[in-house]
Amino acid sequence: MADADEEAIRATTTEAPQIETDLSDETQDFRLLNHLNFLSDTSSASLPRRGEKDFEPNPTEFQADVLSASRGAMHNALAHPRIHHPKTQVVGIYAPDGPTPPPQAMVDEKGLGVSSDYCVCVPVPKGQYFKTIGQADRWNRVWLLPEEAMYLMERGSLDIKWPRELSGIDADDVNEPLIPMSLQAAYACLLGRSGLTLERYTVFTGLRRLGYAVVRASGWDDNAQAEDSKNEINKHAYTEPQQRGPGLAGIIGRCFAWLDDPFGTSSTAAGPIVGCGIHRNYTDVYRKLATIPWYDPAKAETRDPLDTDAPFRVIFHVYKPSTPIKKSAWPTPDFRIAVVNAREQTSIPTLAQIGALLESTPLDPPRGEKMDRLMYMRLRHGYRNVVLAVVDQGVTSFLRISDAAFGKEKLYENKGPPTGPKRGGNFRPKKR
Amino acid sequence: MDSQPTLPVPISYISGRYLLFSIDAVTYLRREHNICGVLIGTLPQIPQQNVFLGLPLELMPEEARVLVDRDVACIVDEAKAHDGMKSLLEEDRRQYLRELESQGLHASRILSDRKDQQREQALKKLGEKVKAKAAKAADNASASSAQKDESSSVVDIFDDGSNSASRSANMTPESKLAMAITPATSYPPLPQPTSSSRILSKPEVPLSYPLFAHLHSQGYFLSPGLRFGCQYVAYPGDPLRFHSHFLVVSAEWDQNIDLMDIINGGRLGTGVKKGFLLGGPEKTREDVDSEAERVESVRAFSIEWAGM
Amino acid sequence: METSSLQPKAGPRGKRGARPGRPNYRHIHRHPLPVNVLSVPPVIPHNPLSIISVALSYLTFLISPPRQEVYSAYFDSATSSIHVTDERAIKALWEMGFFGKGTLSRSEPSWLEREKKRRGLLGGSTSEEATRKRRTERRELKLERARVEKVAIEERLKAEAAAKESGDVLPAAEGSTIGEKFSVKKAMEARYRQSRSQTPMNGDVSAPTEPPLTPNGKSVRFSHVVQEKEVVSSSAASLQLPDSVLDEDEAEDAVLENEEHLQISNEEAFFLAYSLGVLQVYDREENKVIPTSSLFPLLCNHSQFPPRTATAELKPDDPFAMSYVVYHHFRSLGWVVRSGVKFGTDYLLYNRGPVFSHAEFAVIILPSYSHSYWSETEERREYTTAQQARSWWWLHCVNRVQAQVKKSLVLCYVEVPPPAASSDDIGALISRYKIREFLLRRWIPNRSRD
Repeated sequence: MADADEEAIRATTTEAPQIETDLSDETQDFRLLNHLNFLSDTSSASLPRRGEKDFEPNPTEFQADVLSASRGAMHNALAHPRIHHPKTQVVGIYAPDGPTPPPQAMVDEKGLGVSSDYCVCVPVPKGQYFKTIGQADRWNRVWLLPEEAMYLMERGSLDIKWPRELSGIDADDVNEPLIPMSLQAAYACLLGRSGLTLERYTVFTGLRRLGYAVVRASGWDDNAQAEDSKNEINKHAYTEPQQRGPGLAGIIGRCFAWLDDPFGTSSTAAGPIVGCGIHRNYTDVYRKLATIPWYDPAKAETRDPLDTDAPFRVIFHVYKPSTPIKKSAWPTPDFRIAVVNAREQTSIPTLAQIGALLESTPLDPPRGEKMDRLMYMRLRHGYRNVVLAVVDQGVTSFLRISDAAFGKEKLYENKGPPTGPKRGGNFRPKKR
Repeated sequence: MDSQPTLPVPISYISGRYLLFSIDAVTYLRREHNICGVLIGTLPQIPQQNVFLGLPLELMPEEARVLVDRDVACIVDEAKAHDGMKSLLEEDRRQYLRELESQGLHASRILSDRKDQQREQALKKLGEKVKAKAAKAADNASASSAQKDESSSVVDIFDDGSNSASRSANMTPESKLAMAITPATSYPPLPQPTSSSRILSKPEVPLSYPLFAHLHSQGYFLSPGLRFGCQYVAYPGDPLRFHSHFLVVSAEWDQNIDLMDIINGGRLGTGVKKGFLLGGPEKTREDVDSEAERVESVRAFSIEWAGM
Repeated sequence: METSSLQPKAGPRGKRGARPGRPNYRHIHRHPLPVNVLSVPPVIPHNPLSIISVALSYLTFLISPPRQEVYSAYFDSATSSIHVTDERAIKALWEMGFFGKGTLSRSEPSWLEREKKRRGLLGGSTSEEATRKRRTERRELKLERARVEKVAIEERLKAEAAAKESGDVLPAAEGSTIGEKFSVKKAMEARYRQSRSQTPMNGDVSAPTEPPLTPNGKSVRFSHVVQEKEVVSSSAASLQLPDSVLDEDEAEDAVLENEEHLQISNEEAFFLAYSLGVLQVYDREENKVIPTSSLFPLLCNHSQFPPRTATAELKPDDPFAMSYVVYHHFRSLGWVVRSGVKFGTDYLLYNRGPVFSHAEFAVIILPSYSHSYWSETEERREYTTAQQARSWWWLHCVNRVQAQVKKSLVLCYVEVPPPAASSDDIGALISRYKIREFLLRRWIPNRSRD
């Protein structure tokens, strides 16, 4: 059989899902959480095996019982309260009007040093989270962005209170306890503040839960414009078909070109491009065939991150859990993320949009011994890259997009059988 | 558990999205109306993963619309409703704080009880171990039951407080301090929204709504399908217990459909043992006065890739 | 054992010898393109002798030039397609660059050989037969599964009813599904093992690349009712399978006419004719060669259905022009470019060819209208917006299908130029398009943490 791809089709369904699926793709049975259950007795729990679901409903009580048990488990898991032990409790206070100085303090011309996007104040910050979250003011209070405050509250690590002024308490009454904000109140008051959409929050919190540090990038503000806009496509990044160079090699080359095709049969106007003569080798043939301009990302100028078209601009810088972080000087991010609401931006980006987005990221060419050896890997890695987080009603789909630059890989120069990785990065030469 | 919330269930409209914060509402709508939404919140008991998520629940506008049309839900402008915090009566405020405190005390008691219980269990286990050693007999049953006890280290929080109350005498003064609680919803202290000023009109729905409503009316549970390469994923029952049957894409009746899209859809579905369902209403929005009429005119086609 | 018609069996066979008869593809496909190449002694600029020797060999070529073979194909306007019927041309175009597809085969024209095998003229069985057999087996097993599950549910219902009557309590829902899951996959594997043990290592059993009977689980599962209906229809259909019609006597009829020919895509044809000059395309009705200058507009007009009239002006974003530009680009880099329709993409890129490896890359073509011409009028803006409006679910659908078959998805944007003043110079015309490729793949945060 001549077409190896037919085999690939057969092999697919058994292996591919493991490569590409994520546990969070499917609704999992909440009975798996029964051992964590705070609200009901846990003795009944025998762990259901993952992925064991029925094909379709049937009228047995058995099935109804299992379903009801699953739903019960879900109910209990969701009803789990957020409680704060007095000893470890971290309190935040909602500041509806943005950062303000402490009551007694005087503010000089230097101001607070905290942007007006921050809206929850933590007077006594303690705990590990503040290593990558929040910004301190001159009085060692930490201010939180709305997404940071909501995330900490959701995970049960922050007790946000309504401010006194709002609940109408006399400011002198210091001993009077404050009313805690509910989860619902936090969403109602913090979402929509300073450009925080639910989609952006969903991406932020999804990555934070996995241990990534996530910070806003300069493209956060949709309306921010670059001072100097390129506005045009990176014209000189397109590689025009090669011309023979000057010099001795060029002269000899032209000489042989004539010998190749003494009667001038080579013509790009009506063909044949390669001419009717005899070719010395295939490399020459392929070189003559290169007549279509292609984009070379290595030659493109890097753009201002704001010289992009929202939502196709980087709004989050993301750091792996292992990346050492200093809040005063954030290192180069491991990933750059643009967030798209699939219901608002319904169509995929145009070339102008995606091109500008990639040009706004730094050049990140394929490097290293492995990349040098493996062409497929180089192509997959690309020269610049970005992650698009496309959010559809609470479900996020991440796509890594990179500038591939096939034109930089002259496959015809490769001798011998293909040695590229097959089957998801399993590098071995084809068996003969 | 089969509690029924007061109807209509208020759906919070926040920053253009439809959210539910009440666990009773979430369970009820799932059980009685086949609406599952998408959980987007962090579970405080296991905050470092994305497989199991918690409240709030995000509803698609389609889901919210179906519920409003059935009169089981209404849309509340939640930001506006929370302006009510400013005008909270001093008396209500104090009352609410007292309530929270008593809940917090209760939680503290349960936690300290649990500690006691764990200590007892540990002692008991130790004793059993000693005994077992002495006997040198492999008493598998007791070993396994001990293990089971260990795994169930957490207990009931808000169940009856009778026996914990009797024990509270043993509590150290420190643990008597009440736990602080972050409630899920703001009702109380806010009064249930009754004034029509905060109730919003029906949710705007996308062109695919008729197909959504049609499949929902046939008993299917629908989820957003983008990650799977479609608009909706249709389940024959609660996704907790059933795999999906169809990957759903909606089209307008006179819309051109690229053959390649059908190939892709067919391959996509068949590759994961599901049907690719293409459908839509025969009537356009210009043809009719209401979306309901479009829902009536929906037709759906199932496509399977048959190989070559 | 002869399993292939592509026989030049040069090269030593592997010592293991487990797979007899695998053709030496490296030799058969040693030419990446159907153009003649003569190796000339290398030029060493510092060595005048080398130049002389090169010049001499050139002189020989000038006096008696080796002829470049030019193949023929015909254009059928009714189907807008191009066909090669000459056996030699078919062989050459397939072997040197993998052009075209057998009209009765999946890719390489192999109908004749399969037919011979089927009629018992050759040993072994074809992969098509194996596939059919596997599919039948799968279907049977699925029906069996449906039956087993139905019985289990009925029994459970009976037990539940009996328990209700007698007031007993049935054991609680311990597991999560009724009975042991019937796994078609496992059943298929069991069958495969069984068949293996019955025919121990018989070299005759399969074609060289015949895969093990890996279950693929492709078919969609429907409810019992549907499946029962399906049985009826499929068994009725099976009565008309060609095998059963075939008479024993006919099988002995050794003279077998090859009913297959090679269809080449319009892009392939134009590449062979215009770029390489090794193909002449005839108009079938007039039996005249179509010059390349008119072949381009002809294929453009036939890139939609119904075809446009010959006088219609060429659109810069004509589907044929767009897909040709992309085809030409990847071919010029050395890729073997073939249709990706079976995976729902425009192209598949093979390194050297489909017999050597899977296609690693699947390409979809997307138009781009960045040139200011396209935003000059409201009408153009509306048009280009519509042209560029592919939905997110579509992109995810394509991407997931590629992930299922382990291909990397390439988004190939083609910058559409404003309309050209003239279309006479094809080279000038196609070099006005610009190409930019992006690689797209799913990013899974859970697996990117290190």
